[in-house]
Amino acid sequence: MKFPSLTRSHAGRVTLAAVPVGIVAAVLLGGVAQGSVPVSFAVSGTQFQIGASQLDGTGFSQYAGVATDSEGAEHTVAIANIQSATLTDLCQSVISETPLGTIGVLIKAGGGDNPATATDLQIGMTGLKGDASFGNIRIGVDASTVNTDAKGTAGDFAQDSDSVSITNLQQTAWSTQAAVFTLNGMSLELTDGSQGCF
Amino acid sequence: MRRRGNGRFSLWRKDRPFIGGILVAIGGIEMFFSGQLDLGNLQIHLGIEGLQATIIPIVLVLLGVLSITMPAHHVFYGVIALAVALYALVGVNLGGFLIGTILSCVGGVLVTAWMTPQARALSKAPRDVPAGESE
Repeated sequence: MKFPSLTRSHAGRVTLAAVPVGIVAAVLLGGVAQGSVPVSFAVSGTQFQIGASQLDGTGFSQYAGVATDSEGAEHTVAIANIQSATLTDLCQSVISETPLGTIGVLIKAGGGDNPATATDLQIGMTGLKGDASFGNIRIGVDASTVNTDAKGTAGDFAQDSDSVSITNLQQTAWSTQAAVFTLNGMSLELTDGSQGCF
Repeated sequence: MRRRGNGRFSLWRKDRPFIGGILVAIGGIEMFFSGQLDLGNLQIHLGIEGLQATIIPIVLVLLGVLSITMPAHHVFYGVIALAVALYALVGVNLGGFLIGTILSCVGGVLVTAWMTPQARALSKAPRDVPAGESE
């Protein structure tokens, strides 16, 4: 396509270059807002809270483990693996002391009919509350023989199940990682640290 | 607007997409530092980490510097800078929290759309319409 009248002036060339850029940028940002772009989260060094009105997952296992924070200190945590999870009304909050005072970060996602999804989710947690139901649960298996890809060390107590469903989940954790974490309808805000997820 | 001087720097500036190149480089630097955000013990990272969060800022700074030092290839550098800056939306902390992407996109558009001195002279010359061609 030739646009001789456009390419002869500077303003014309700028328009010719800027229009496709604007279109692609708008499409990409739309994709991010839809959650079709995978997002990974790493919050380290402090405990943070995770809340969700509903967590449904398949391929669940749990065993004791150690989470190391960024300063090398080790914390005993219960490691929970969920191979594929959907979280409705997911809320993550962490409160941190900084030179500027107390700052909190509150991240919400997956509201309403558009839950957040995660693949190969591994949470190092210190507390969990909620109404849980497990499908095909085995309690007291060796941590190295659990049915998820991530396994614990041999000789440790563990439990696993084919499916898990937790309502009104309230969890205190040291770390979360996921291979793919899709947060639909994500909102992130900085707060004054007075209010967490629960 | 009074053009300030025909000093050596001014002449050197006009020979290349100066502002565009600078903007692309600044966008790249901003993206790099957006990955170093540290509030006490809290680090915020969005997107798939790793090499691409380092390579993309490096490429953008290189493209900014190259488009200033080798203005003849400005279209090539500008187009690649645009493609990389748009990918950074996905790859580097949401494009350095959008700021880096915007800076590098504006710079990339300016670099691509920059007119070489010959092109500027052509645009100012009266246009001859060859017989048979309609405008």
